[in-house]
Amino acid sequence: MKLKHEILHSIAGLKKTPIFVFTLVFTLAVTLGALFAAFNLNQLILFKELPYANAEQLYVLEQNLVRDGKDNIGDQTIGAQIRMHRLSKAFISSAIVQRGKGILVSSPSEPVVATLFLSNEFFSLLSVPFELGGAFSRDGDNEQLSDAKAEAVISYQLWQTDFTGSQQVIGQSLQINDEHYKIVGVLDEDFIDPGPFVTQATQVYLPFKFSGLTEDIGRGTSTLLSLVHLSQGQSLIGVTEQLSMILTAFMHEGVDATNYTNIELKAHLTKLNDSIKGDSGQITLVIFAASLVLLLIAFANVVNLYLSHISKKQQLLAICACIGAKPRALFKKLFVESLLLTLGAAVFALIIAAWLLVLTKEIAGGTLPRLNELGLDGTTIIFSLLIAVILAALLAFFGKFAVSYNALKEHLSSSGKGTNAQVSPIIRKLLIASQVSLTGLLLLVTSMVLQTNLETVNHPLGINVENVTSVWVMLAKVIKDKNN
Amino acid sequence: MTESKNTTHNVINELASKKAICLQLSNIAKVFRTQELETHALRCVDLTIYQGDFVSISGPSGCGKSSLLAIMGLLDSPSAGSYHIVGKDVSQLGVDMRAEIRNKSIGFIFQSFNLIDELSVFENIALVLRYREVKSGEKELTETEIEQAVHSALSQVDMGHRAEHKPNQLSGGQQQRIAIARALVGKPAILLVDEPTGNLDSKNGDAVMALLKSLNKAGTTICMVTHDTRYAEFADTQLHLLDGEMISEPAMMVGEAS
Repeated sequence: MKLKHEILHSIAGLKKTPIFVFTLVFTLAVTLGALFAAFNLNQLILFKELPYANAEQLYVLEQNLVRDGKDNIGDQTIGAQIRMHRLSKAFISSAIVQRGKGILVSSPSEPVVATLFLSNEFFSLLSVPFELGGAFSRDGDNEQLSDAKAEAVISYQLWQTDFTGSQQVIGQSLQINDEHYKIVGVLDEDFIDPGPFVTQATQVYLPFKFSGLTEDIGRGTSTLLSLVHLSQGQSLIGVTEQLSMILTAFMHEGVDATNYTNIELKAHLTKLNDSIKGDSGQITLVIFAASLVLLLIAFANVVNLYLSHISKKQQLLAICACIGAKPRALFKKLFVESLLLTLGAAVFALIIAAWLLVLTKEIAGGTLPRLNELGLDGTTIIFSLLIAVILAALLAFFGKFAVSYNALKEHLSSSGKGTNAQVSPIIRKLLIASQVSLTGLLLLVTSMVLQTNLETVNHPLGINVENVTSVWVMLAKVIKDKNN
Repeated sequence: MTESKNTTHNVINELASKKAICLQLSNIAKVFRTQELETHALRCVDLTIYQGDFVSISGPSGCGKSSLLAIMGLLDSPSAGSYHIVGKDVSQLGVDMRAEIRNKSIGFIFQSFNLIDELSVFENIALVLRYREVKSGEKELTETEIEQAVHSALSQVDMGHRAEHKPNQLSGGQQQRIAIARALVGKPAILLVDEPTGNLDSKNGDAVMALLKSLNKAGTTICMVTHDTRYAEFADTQLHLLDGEMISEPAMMVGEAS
């Protein structure tokens, strides 16, 4: 039979069982929604390429303080990082970036804005797209950090809120703390800051010079990083060694090396993607596994429901078999009907998933990276179609398994001969057992995860934090004393 | 009894010797086995139906009529014996081939009509043609051809005006007419009819039997199973089953005997 007629016949049949259709579609849609959202999240974090050109060749450069053979990647020595940036120009392209905050004094409400102090290479390494204007001006290839002018690039969002999207924004001045900057560019709306450099969306990008950090500062900071681009064929180990040599020289400069025999300062390069991802992949995989188990529990329920439906359809199947439908034609009939149901469920599930993704952005913004890129995409839609087809095939398989083709003739003479044969009790028991065991497994795993988390949360910090409050004071202007 | 049976069959065969054989059963037996019990539903049944015949098989309840009809309709397999439809041995065919022969060579009419409630009358009848698979070299039926065939079958049973109705909008007699149209639409070699009047009142029952008779006169081969002797008389050849064996005379009903 042609697919068109099979679909029309299935729709006609399903119209007669609206409660069955609603229950099945609703049950599947809720659990599939969770699965699709979890898939989308995993796909973004584990597989989706970063939205930058040559993202595979981008690395985050950090200092690794090796003490007694143990790695320690923590605070970054300011002078060493700037030294690496200056001296590595001979063999790599790198951008140095300092995360900060400042008060936008030029705005009437004087809001605190997120800033990034960076070297000009940042824009070229990430191929940053501009809505208006461009990157900081340069004085040739040999420009030093200290040569930078007081220029600013602003985010699309700041442009819209503080400059009402005016095309005349380029050339206007903005003041952050006590420094005036000339606006030279507005970033494209779609540009996303790379994760490790920011904790919140950057609003103003400023030349690194104005961070106040210089090569002669020996203290460390946790807000300083470098972005490095390795050319095709360039050895990661070789570059790491060259950078480590710069660090070693910096460390021993003017210092008695014998005092640091058990300490080494080495360069550490991490792929930008891995650096952004961190260990969030494990979290998202657990979420995916949980939603999959949830789907399995719901599916066991759905199969039970479907088998009840099939037992009512046996006379129809018998009629079809009698007039010449082969076993595979009956399977096709069951498959088409199941597919209509699972596709319907998948459509509603995608709507639920879209809502769940919005919710995830709201509640997990500080926990998981790249959430601003989260959203239903082609891959998730293809995945949802694939899942719908697989579930439909499974339902049709269970339906075919529950119906004996050779015994269908019994349903043709239903005039008082007691032909309402039910689905095998073994199948029903198996389904109930699978539901109970899957639910039990999910509860067990959930309680184990919860217990571990509670232990972590309740673990004593070793310091008394009772009635202790953190206060952060930001000075908009530094009033300089004539004598100091 | 065996001698009498052979005589009857010889007479039938002689009369029909010039017709083509439509369906032939030889030494058909059907045994249902459980762990403790062996039930012989049919024993050495020989039956030949020629094209254009109207044969009725009657007998008391449990005599094996339905088992015989299921075997003849390829809905069940015999335990022993051979079975030919239009010269083709169908005793040992696989599931798919049996389905194909049911589709092309056999038309079924049941006591309980067996129409699909959610489909229109048209779709119920067209279903036979929609399940017809084309082999290489054969031409697939177009939608126009299907429409023509369905309307032709409907006009044969005088139900052309009910094509778009649903079965549950029709009376029992009308539903049986639709079932007959469905059986006819594929132009089968034979109609197998199982108690066609069982769910109908006498008026509708008579009308359905008259329809079957007229179809037979127009050339349709019919084999009908019934326990109603009045309707069995519509057939040109009346056969009788008792305890799984074909006998020449009608078996005396238990009720009649008492």
